[in-house]
Amino acid sequence: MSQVENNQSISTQGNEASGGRLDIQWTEVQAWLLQIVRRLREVFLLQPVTVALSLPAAVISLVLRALVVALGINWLVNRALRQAASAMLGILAGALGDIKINLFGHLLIWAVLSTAAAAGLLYWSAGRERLHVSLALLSDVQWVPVLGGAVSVVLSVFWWPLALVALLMGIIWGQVLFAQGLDELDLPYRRRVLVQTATAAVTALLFWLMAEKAVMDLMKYNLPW
Amino acid sequence: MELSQRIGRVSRILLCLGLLFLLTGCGAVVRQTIFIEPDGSGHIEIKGTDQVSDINEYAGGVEQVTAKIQESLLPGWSLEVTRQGNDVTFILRRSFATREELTEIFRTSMGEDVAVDWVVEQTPFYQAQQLGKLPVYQVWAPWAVKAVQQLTNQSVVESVSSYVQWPGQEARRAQEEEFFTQQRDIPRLEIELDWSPRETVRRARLSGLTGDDYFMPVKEWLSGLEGAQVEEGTEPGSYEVSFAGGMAPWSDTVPTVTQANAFWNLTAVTDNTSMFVRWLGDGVRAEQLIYKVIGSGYMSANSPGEPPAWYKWPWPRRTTQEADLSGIMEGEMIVWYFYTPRPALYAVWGTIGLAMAGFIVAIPLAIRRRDAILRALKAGGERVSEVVQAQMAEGSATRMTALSLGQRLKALVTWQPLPPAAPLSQSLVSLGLCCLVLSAMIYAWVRSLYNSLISLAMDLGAGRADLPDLGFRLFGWTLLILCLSVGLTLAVLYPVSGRRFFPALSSALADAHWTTIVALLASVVLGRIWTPCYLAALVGGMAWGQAVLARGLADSAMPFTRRLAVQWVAGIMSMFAPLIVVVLGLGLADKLL
Repeated sequence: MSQVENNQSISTQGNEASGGRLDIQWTEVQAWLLQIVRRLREVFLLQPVTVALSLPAAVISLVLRALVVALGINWLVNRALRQAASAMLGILAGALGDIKINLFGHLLIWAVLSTAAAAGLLYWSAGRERLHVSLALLSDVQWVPVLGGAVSVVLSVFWWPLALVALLMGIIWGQVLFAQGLDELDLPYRRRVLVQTATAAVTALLFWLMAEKAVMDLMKYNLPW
Repeated sequence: MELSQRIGRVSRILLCLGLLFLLTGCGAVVRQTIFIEPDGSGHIEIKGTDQVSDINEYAGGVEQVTAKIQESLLPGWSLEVTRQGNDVTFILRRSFATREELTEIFRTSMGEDVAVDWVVEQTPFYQAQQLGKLPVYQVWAPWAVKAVQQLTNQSVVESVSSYVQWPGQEARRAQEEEFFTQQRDIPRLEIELDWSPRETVRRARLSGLTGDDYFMPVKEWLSGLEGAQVEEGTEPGSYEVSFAGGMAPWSDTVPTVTQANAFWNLTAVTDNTSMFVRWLGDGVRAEQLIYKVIGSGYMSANSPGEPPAWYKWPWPRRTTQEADLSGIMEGEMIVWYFYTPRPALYAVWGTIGLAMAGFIVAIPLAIRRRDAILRALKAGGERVSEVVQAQMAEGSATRMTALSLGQRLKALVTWQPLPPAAPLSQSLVSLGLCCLVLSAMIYAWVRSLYNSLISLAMDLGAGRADLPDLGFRLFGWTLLILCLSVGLTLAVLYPVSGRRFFPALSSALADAHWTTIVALLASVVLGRIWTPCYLAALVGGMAWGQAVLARGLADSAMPFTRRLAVQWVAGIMSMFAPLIVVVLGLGLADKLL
């Protein structure tokens, strides 16, 4: 068992005392959030991960990440749409300041479904007893591209290839972390590769389907701008 | 689209030539269709429709025309006449079994001087043949026209004048002027000829020549005419040509072949130019518009204003059937394909395929055999034959590299734990093979895309002959660019990984490249089954590649931060290295050339 797993086992002992009854105190939530922040800080700073995530903290982290991704991509799409309209229509751009489409629902469904699929794959491969470790790993893997995306947005102001590089770096970083984490879970080689490949493939597949559905919905109803 | 479907579709291209055909002294619409099956067989169908009243007036009636055509039919042709209301349709049919027979039909039916030119487009998998530039006039059945002409007994001038006197002529002329007014961007050559049917051409004025490219050939052509004196006109780009003693004798009312040729040659000189010819004669004012368009210009030029359909074609005056009209209709000639298998290429590709299959089968067997030999050697070597021992001793580096590479690829594709990092030489060979396979895949993909674009362009009216062929050089260039970009990637990665970890890095990079190839193949195959799988397979393949790369680097005991840096640089270089190579190559070429 790895050091991270040991730490995580110790830190989750306190949460099992409630006897299955849902009795969440605000201080517990604060503690989980603190765990998430500390862990993400270590991940983002490329430091060895010492902060373990309890199961609720990992779930909260994943949910938060899904929300951030849905909000962020929705904002990006609207921004790109406004820029495209501005570029195409020139002087009329001012009149299009309120251009807006709402993809948040579709994106949130996509993020939640893809995360659930990845969690299911990890549950199948790593087992129930190591679920919290797997979900913590998934949280790291999913937050890193978010950081890459945020940097990408900032860099896109200067030069678009830099934005592409930042996004690519974020994605690769996530994949490296995933490979490293699956390695530490002591999974057989084939299962490690399968989980990593299938997670990416399912995410892409769901993205395609949800994008398709979003476009169909937008065409079906009046565009909300 | 499957190749077989493409063959079926293309071979049934409807070759509709909407021509005004002076079958009976006035306008008849003639449509020629050639049906071609994938095996090269098919039939030609020439359908001419005219009004019964016109035929009665100019050709003595439908029955007489039918009998005359029937009498003139060449062997193998059949005639069918159908009437509907005031319209009568003559349908000529001729079957053929092979492409060679179709060529022979052209020769026997249209004359020995018809140059049937087959343009061959070669691809690795099939050979597409298309009919080259063939004047539309020669594709008609001139013998049928001649037969009908014998019935009309009208002079050319009368025929043309009767056309000019059609109802609505003035309105059409106004449309014509409006059309040319709108098309200011299209170079236009206007020629006015003063001539008399009984005398000679006296004066010609050419105007609208706005560029030197058009000036010199036209001027040279005019100067070469017998008795011609060329002077520059008062307007820019205009010439006055006078003929002392006449340009050439006009036999009665029929322009000679030479004169007709002169005009058509002029048309060829003013390529992609509309040409407006006014014939001024004794009491007869006939106008002929020759609007020559090529490729997509046909669509763009005709869409605004929607000129009458007869603008798209030269008025086929009866006299012109004996002239060499080559050059007029080129670009408007609709082409068709023959897809014929290329036995030699099939043999080559089949051999390559068999070799690859043999390679795939032989490698595991060889690996198993090698393992057995190694076990035997380890056990003492008594059971190993001398021959096998000699083979082991003499095992060439190439053979051993191939064996190791095959073993590695097999483990990679079957998701088995990979062997330890391969030697640098083997990794470089592996990367080279990757570039080769990727080049072939990219070439096949671009080729497919290009063929789709060609089909689209042809649907829009472009002639196949006007679309450049995508040569096999693309494969070579792609291979060169990929090889250079891989070399560039390795060069950039060397300082990142350090000399110690470079062999492990190369090995892992080669493995990751192979996963890309497998992912691309899976993407194509799965994407055909369900479109969303395109993206899923690609993204999954990318993740797989990253996993393999991470695993390979981890096995080399490289520190985590350096592994991450290597993967970052490798990923970025994989995306940008081909672009960098292309930009650098273009810059170098620009400097050298």
